[in-house]
Amino acid sequence: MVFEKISPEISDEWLAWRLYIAGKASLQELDLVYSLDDVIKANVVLDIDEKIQAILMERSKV
Amino acid sequence: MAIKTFNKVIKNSEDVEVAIEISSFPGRMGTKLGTKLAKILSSFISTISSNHSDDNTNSKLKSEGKSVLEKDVDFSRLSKVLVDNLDENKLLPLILELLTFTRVDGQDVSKPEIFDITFAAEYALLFKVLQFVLEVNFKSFFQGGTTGQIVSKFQEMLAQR
Repeated sequence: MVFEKISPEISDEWLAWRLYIAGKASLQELDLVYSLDDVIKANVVLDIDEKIQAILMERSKV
Repeated sequence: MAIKTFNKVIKNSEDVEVAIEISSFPGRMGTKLGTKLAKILSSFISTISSNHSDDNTNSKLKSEGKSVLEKDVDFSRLSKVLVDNLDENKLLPLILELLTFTRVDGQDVSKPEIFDITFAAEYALLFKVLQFVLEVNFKSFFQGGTTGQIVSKFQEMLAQR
């Protein structure tokens, strides 16, 4: 598991960092504007987006 | 959307109304706390699962490659576990962290000295306040399978195009 090699401080905040890395939220927004609920919902949307991109990629190969 | 404030009036053991005000956790702090909560409480999974009759032991979940996050959690039971295990070294700091944005009659109960005064002989009040904090902040976090369900719905929609 990748998470076992990352410090708990980062892996425990992974859902928030994922939005930052994806360029969907700034650290300031994650600390001052977005609630935990927003972070969860944004991750759900990101999951969906990744699935759609994967499906579109598969279709483009055909 | 965004960080909000929630208010509730709860009666204490003497039937006196107490005003509770909590703000939702900011995203980064909330994910850290949620993960911490899930790790500590994974050993109590059979107690806090909403389907209490299931054999939802942690070892069973582990054998299925699942975590506490994939079970629907009963916040009343979760709150009770926290209060019942208050004396354990691990849980008091976590409870104080969970109360970071909580005011009881205007007092910041995340400060140990105020916590002690406010909840002395008021375990039922602490239980209700914690339940309120957990419900407001962690409903999405501890909702088993939500992500998977939404993703599969979108896949179905795409397939129908």
